[in-house]
Amino acid sequence: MATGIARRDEKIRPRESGNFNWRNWDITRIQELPETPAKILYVVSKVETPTQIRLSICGINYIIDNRLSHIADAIRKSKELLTLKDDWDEDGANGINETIYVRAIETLIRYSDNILDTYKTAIKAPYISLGRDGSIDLDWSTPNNQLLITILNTGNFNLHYYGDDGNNNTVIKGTLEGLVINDDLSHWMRKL
Amino acid sequence: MWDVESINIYHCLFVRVSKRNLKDDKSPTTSAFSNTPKDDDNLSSDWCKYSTPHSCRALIGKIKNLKTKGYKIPEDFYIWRFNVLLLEQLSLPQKVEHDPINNNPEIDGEPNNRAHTKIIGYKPTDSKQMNYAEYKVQIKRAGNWAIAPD
Repeated sequence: MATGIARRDEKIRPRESGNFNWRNWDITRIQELPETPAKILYVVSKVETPTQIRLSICGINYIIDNRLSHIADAIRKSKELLTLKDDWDEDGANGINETIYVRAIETLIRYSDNILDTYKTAIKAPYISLGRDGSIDLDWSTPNNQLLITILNTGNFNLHYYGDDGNNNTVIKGTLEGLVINDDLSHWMRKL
Repeated sequence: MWDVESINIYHCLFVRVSKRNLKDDKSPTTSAFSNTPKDDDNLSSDWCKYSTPHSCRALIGKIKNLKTKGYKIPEDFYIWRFNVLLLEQLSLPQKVEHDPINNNPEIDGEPNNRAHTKIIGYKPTDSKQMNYAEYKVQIKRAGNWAIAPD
């Protein structure tokens, strides 16, 4: 019942291919959304039509399964970050970089959607914040686990992640240079 | 002139946290302990040998706000206490370096501060060297509030 999005500048992965789970997905409609004809080329959804939430972020439309409504709420709240200009902390901080913000939101949507689809689990919403250097953090702190995903303020996609169970018994960490789902990270995130 | 001294690993350091770096639950955001200034290689702190949480906070009122050209408001900041030993034991260890500020005459907006200490230790954009997310999670765990938000 989950839905997802694909951007015009990305290739849709073949069903039998690697990391992202495209099983049971069909392109049921290919359309240009009226709000942003230049940016969205198609919406990918499953055959069934779930109740969906539509979000518009920086001119890009996202379709989200309604079981992830709390994620959508967190994203809506995070739009406040878009108002932060240079020196927002009165200590010389970088203002928001819209490109980095969009990368962060797409990362959140893709992973939460993938985990819902693969593990039938709706993960909690992270706290989304802007760092002094313009990086954006997705911060999950639960009683038993913590995961931090930092999207760095760099030209190329550059994501660092670190998670543990508080006792360093189960640690996951690494870097990613693209939006393709990392299965190990996705598997770990189902605990959130 | 104040000498640069070695810092006892069992001492603590005080770091200011802006109210703009608080989460909804009033805990610091994961970016609260980034470098100051952001392009520098260290985080400023005050050594407990020559400072207290309250004197650390009060000193903020003598620092110029570059945006408003006035002075910063101490009540806009809270104070986090780091344990030096825990900082040095992080998986991404931090180097602690006493760095007293002593200008004669004192510079308006940059107060002299015998307690000033640098916490040096990472280059966030160098992904091949260090994991920035790991740094942010670990450094927060090396401390707690000395003056917490209400």
